[in-house]
Amino acid sequence: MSGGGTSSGKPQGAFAFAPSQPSPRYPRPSKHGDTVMLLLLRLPLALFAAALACSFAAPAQAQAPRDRVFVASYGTDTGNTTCSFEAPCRTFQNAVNNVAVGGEVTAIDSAGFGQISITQSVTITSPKGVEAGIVAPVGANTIDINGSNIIVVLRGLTLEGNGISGSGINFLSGGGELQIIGCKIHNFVDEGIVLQPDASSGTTSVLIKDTVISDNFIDGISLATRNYGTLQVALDEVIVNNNGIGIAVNTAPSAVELMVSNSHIDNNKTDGLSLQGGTGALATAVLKNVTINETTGMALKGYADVWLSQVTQTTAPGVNGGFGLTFSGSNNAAYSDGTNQLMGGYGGGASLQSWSSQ
Amino acid sequence: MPFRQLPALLAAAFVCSLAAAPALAQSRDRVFVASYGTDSGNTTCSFEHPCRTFQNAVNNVAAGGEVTAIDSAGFGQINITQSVTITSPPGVEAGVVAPAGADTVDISGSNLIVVLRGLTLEGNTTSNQGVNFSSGSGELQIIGCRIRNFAYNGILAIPSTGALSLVVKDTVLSDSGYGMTLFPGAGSTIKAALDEVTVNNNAYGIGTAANAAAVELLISNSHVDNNQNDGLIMLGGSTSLMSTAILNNVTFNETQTGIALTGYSLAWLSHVTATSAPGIGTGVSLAFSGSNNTAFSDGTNHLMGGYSNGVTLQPWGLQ
Repeated sequence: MSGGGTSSGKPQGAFAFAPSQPSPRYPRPSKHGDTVMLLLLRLPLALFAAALACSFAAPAQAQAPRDRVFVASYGTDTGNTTCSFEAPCRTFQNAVNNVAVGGEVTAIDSAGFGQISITQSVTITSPKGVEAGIVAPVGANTIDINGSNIIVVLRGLTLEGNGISGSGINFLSGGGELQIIGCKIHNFVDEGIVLQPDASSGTTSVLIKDTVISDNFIDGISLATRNYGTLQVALDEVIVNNNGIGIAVNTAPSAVELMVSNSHIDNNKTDGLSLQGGTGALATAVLKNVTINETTGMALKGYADVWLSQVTQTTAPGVNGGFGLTFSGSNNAAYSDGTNQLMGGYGGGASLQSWSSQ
Repeated sequence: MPFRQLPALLAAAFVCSLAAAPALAQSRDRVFVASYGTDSGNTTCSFEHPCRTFQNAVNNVAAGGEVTAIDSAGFGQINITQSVTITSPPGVEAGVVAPAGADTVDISGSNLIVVLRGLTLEGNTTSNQGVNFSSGSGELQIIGCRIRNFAYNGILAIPSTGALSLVVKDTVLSDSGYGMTLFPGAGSTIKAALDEVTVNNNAYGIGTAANAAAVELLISNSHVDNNQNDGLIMLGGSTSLMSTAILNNVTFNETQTGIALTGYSLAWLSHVTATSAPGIGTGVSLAFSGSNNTAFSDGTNHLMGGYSNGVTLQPWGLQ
């Protein structure tokens, strides 16, 4: 069924999302193919003959990139541009270099597959039962992502910093989306995940789910924006444990919205959640069913809003000496719906405002 | 019959039976695909001799049988017209990519039971739908799948005859025109249950159109976030053709409207959190347009973006 919804007996029109209509986001498949055919038809015969002769030399030319490529412990990169299941590549980088835009890179077995630089849409998967890891050299990042409006999905990967590598994921793309699902990211000297989109090309969406981010020296997750774009981040079923700061949001120069649900931000060394905004660039976080167990649970450092529902912030005598919620700078606000437990109390004049339910 | 002809006839019958045997083979209840499989002349798709494509396996499995992927590969688009279960088990990454303008999985038929488990459906922005239940009725289960990047819909359900029961669980619907659209034809209905579903970064999250037949949608423990327009948009046709949604423990975090009731629509909200961040969201949590819309709340919801167009919430009492 192509398009759908308009055959006899089906309801028609009347609704903006009727599948017979083009999506508001993606145009219909382009007509570039028709244009190419027309040009080919107009080629002089001699040119066509020359093209035909060249086509016989095809083995020397690279084939179109595959939609699906593979890496394996027994794979090889040398001269390998197909990365097929039968002849997989050895590194993620060679696979990423040779997969089609929007294609899939899958690990066949468990191994380390090397650091990756990503500049186009791609999905990299370590399926269950396979332990695909990445270790980077001293000071380097395991995964760098930088493109405009690209969609990158990372699933099931283990990123290990060994206490010497820079960051686990360094995301500098503008627009588009990053999904991190089922990953383990630990032990980096900088951050586990850096989200600093150059958002001049639009809103950037980030989804982090079912992932552990631990033991990173500076921040577990660092969020900021560049060039006045906006950043929307959703975390669900995420554990942020034993980092310097758990999640650090610094919104300058433009707004960041963070939504955290069903997650644990525990045992980080200073702040569990640090929110710092600026004039015209509010830092907003909504927390629902989250535990926070740090020296300072939530630190609002100016132009920051936090909305709390079913949040449990703990403080054990002799272990945690700080506060549940602190304010510094100006224009901070914390809202509570009466379902939260903030055991560490308040510092810096922090107080809660009512967040009414409907 | 002269006896001297008997041996020749027996021999001929024997040869014929040999030749006909493959055509008479019964379909297996359980068939397999693998990266190293082959379709040519393969009608058994056994574990020892798997097929290469889901389509050849589906063509040769018994009605109601199971198709399982042995290893990771792309197994090609599928047209399903009988009950079947297609599984990519944990540890296997079985994907489907379709050409531009096509669907990755098409399903049509009456009273079918189709189960899709663990599949990755990739639209590359040019394919039409991830899963298209394009006619008929029955049940469709989509469990543990990833469906993304389609020009139109991640999931499109447009049953035409009788009821469709749809279950979507532990699945990510992202980066498509619509994450999911429910659009039953006249004479049909849809009851859909979503649990632990992530609907992320689509143009619209979920759409229900009951202007020809009623739709009931139950969403629990799910996240409808970062969609560019409405998280959930609903439309009915009349007081007997309502679009109904019951939401329990669901987050909405969109650029525009969280939940949009656009006529003859009912929404029942419990533990719903709909956010709207200054500087990012420009819409509202709940919007009405058209007529005959009602939203009920049990007092456990946070609708941070507020309401538009004179929306009020009706109490939804606990017993």
